[in-house]
Amino acid sequence: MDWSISIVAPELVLLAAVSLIIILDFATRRRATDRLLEAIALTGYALAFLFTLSAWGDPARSAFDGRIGADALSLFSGGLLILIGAGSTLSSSAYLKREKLEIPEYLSLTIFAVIGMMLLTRATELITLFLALEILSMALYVLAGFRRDQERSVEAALKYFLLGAFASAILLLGIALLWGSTGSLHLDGLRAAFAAGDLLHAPLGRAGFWLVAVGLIFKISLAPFHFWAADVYEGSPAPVAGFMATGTKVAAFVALTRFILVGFGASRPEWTPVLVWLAVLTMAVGNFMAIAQANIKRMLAFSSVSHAGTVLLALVAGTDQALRGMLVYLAAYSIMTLGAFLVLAVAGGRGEERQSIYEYAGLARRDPWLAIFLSVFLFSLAGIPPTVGFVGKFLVFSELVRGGFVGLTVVAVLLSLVSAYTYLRVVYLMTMRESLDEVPATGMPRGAALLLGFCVVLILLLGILPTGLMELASAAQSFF
Amino acid sequence: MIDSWILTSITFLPLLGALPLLLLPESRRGLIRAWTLIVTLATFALSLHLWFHFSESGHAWQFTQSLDWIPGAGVRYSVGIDGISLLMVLLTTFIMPLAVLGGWSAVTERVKGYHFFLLLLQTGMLGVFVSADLFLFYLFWEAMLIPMYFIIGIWGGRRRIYAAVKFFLFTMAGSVLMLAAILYLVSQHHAATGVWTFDWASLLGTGLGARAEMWAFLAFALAFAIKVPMFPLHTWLPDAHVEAPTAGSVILAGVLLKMGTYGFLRFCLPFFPDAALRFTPLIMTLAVIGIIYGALVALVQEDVKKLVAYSSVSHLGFVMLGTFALNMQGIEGGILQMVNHGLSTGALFLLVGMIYERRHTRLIVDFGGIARVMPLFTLFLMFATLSSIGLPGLNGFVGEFLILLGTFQVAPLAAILAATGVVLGAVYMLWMIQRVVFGPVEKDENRVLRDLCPREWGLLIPVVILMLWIGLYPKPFLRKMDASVTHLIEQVRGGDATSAPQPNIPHNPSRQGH
Repeated sequence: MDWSISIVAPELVLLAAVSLIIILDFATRRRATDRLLEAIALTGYALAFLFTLSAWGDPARSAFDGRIGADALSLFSGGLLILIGAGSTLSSSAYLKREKLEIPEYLSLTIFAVIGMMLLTRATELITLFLALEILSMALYVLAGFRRDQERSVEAALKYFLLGAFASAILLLGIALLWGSTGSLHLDGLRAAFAAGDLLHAPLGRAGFWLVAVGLIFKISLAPFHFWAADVYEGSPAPVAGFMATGTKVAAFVALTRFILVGFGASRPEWTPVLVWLAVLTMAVGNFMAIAQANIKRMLAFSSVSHAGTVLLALVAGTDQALRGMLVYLAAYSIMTLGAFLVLAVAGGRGEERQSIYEYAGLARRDPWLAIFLSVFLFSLAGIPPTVGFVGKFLVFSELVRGGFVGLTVVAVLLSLVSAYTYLRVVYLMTMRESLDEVPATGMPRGAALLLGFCVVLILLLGILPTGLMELASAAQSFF
Repeated sequence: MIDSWILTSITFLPLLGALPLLLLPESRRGLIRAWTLIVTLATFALSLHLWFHFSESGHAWQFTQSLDWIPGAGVRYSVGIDGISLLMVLLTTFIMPLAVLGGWSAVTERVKGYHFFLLLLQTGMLGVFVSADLFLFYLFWEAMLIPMYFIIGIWGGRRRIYAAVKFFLFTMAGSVLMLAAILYLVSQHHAATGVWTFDWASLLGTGLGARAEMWAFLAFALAFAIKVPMFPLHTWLPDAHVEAPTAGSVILAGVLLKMGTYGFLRFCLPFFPDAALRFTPLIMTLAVIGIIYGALVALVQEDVKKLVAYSSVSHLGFVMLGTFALNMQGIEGGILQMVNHGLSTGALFLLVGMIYERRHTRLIVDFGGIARVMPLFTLFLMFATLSSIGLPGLNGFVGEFLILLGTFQVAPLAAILAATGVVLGAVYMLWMIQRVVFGPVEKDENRVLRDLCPREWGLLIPVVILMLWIGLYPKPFLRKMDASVTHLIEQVRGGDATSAPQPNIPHNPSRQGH
C-alpha cells in the first residue's frame, strides 16, 4: 500500500502558498502589500505546475489506499486547472483594485478552489470525490458573494449555496446507495461489482449511479440542472464567473468522465441514451436561451451551458479519440471563456455597471482592442476556423460520426449555427453600431492587455497548429 | 522548389501583406491603399507563373505541395490546382487589385481595417481554390466568412448589419451540414480502408451506398447552392450585394459566388457521381427557374445595383445548367462563364460604384442622359453590358453559347427555356442602359457629373481587354481545362456511362409517374 505523499505534491504546494498568504496577511495586520501576496500565489501556481510537469510521463499510480490517483488524465487536467487559477489571479488583480475588494481573501479562496478542483479530477474513491467537491464548492460560494455590498452578488452566492447544498446531498445519497448495493466506494470496485452483476440490490445501485452523476452534472450545469448558472454568473464578479465557468466545468467533467467510464464502463448501453438526450437538451436550452439574453454575462452563462452539452457528446462517443477531443475542447473552452469574462470585467466599468449587450455598441470605437479581443473569443466560441474553438468542435464531431452518431452530429452542428447568431450579435453591436450615448473609454490595464493578447495568440496558434495540444490530450486520455 | 511552394506563396502573400498594415497609423490612408494595391498586384504577378507553366497535357493536379499538418487527425496541408481551379485562382488574383482600386476613394472610414480584411479575404478565397485536403478546404471556406462579414457590416450601406448577418448565417447554415457530410465521408472511408484521411484524392471513390450518398450529396450541394446562389436559396444575395461597399460587391460577384459552382465541380460531382446524376433533373430545373426568375426580377428593379445583383442569380443559373449538362461543352462553358461573370458583373459593380460616389443614388429614375456628360463612363458601361448579355465577339457569348450547346444535347427543353433567359437578359440590361445613359438630361445634378478619372478608366481597361480576348479567342482558356474536364466527366459517368440514366429534360420528377 502506497501512502506516498508525493502524489499530492502540487496540491501541497498550493496549500503552502495559501497558508503563507493567510499568515502573512494576519501577521502584518493586513499591511502586507497585495503585490507580494499575488507574487506568492503565482509562485505557488508556478511550482505546482512544475511538479505536475515533472510527473508527466510517469506510469500511472495511486496512493492513500487507492483513493487518489495520479495518471496522465489528472496531470493534464491538473495542469490546465493550475493555468486557469493563475490566469484568473492575473486577470482579477486590476479588477479587485478597481472595485476595492480584499485581495488576500480572494487569492486564498481561489487557490482553495483550485486544490479542490485538482483533487476532484484524481479522486478514485467516492468519499474523496465528495470532499474534493465540497472544498471547491465552499470556496466558490464565498467567491460568488465576494461583493458583499452588492445585492445581486449576495443573491448569487445564496442561490448557488442553496442549490449546491442540495446537489451535494443528492450526491451523498447516491454514494450511500452505491455503498449499500456494492459494498465498495472505489471506482474499480464498483466497476467489478457492476460487471459481474454482483449486486445486493441492483435497482438501488443504478439509482446510486445516477444520483452521483446528477451531483456532478449540477456542477457542470448540464440542462435540466443548469438553472443556477445564469443567475450566479450574472451576480458574481466577472473574474469569478470566468473562473467558475472554466475551472469547475473542467474539473467536474473530468470527474464525471472518470466516474462513468471507470466505474460504469461495462454498462455503456444503459447510460449512452440518457447522455445523448442530456446533451441534446443542454445544447438546445443553452443555445436558444442565450439568444434571448440581453445581459452579456447571462448570455455567456447560457453559452457555457451549451458548450457543456457539446463536451458531453465526446463522452457519448466514448472512444479514446473522443476523449482526446473532449480534453482539447475543455482546454479550448477554458481559454476563450476566461478571456471573454476578462473582457467583461474590464469593459463593465466601475461596479460592473455595463452588463447589457447594447452597452457594448460602439465598443470598437471606444476601446478598439477590447472589441478585437472579444470578437476573437466570440468567433472561437462560435467555432469558426481558424480558432481553437473550431478544432475542439471538429475533433468531437469527428468521433461522433465515426461512432455512428450521424443524426446526433447533424443536430449538434445545427444548434451550433444558432449559437453563431448569438455571438455575431455581440460582434456587430461592438463593431457596426455606434454607442447609444456618450460612454467614456474604459481603457485597459496593462496586465489585462497582456493576458488577453496571450489568450488571443493561443486561440489562433492552437487553432492553426493544434498538434501539440492534441498529443498531450491523446496521452492523457489513456487512463483506464 | 518553386513549383511546390508557388501556391502556398500566392495564397498567403495577401495575409502576410496584411500584417504590416496593422502597424501603419490610421491617418496614412494613401500609404495603406497603395500598400494593399502593391500586395494584390504582387499576388497577381506571382499567379501569372501558374498560367505560363501550367501543363495542359494531363488532368493530374499540378504545383502540388503536401506537408504534415495535424497527423493526429489525418489532416495534411495539401495544395494543388488542376485546369478547373487554375482559372479560379487567376480570376481571384486579377479581380483583387481592381476591387482595391475601385474602393480607392469610396472608403474613407476605418481605412486600415477595411484593407486588412480585404487581404484576409483574398487569402481565404485563394485557399478554397487550391486546397487538396477537405479539412483545409473547410477551414478556408469558413474562415473567409469573417472578413466578408466585417466588410459588409462595417463599410456597407444603410441596411448593412442585416445583410452581413444574413450572409453569415445563410452561408454557415450550409457549411455546418457540409462539415457533417465531410466527416461522414471520411469515416466511411476509414471503415473501408482503415485510413483516417481528409485527402481529396484518397476520398474519391469511397463507396457510401445509395441512400447515404444521396444525403451526403445533398449536404454538400446545399452548402454550395447557397453560395452560388441557386433559386430558391438566393435571398441573401441581393441584400449582401446592395449593402456591400463597391469592392465587397465586386469580390462577392467576381469570386465568392464561384466558390459555390466550383464546389459542385470539385466535390459534388466526383465524390457522389450517382447521386449527382440522380439529382441532375432537379438541379437543372432549379437552374432554369433561377435563370428566368432572376431575369424577371432584375427587369423590375429600380436600383441599378439590385438589378445587377439579380442578374447574377440569372447568370449563375447558366453556370449550374452547363455544369450539370455533364458534357464537355456544358462544363467548359460553365467554367468559362464563371470567369465571364466575374469580369462583366465585376465591371458593372465597379461602374455602379463610380456613379454612386458622384451622385449618392443608384435609382434608375435619378439618371438619364448621362452619356452626354460622361462619355467615357458610358463607353465602359456599354462594354460591360454587352459582355453581360452575351454579344458575339465578347466573352459572355462564348460561355453562354457553349452552355446552351451542351445543355441542348441532354435536355433540349432546358436549353430552350434558358435561351429565353438570354433574351430577357438583353431586355433588362439594355432597358436599364437606355434609361440611365441615353435620352435627355432631365436632372440638374446630372449636368455637372465628372467623367471617369484616369484611375477609374485605367482599372477598367484590363477588364475590357480580357472581355475581348475571351470573346474573340477563347481557345487558350478552354485548352487549359480540357484535360481536367474530360477526366471529371469520366469520373461522373464512370465505366457505366451507358447504363447511367441519361438526363433528358428538366421535368418535374413527379411527372414521371403519370
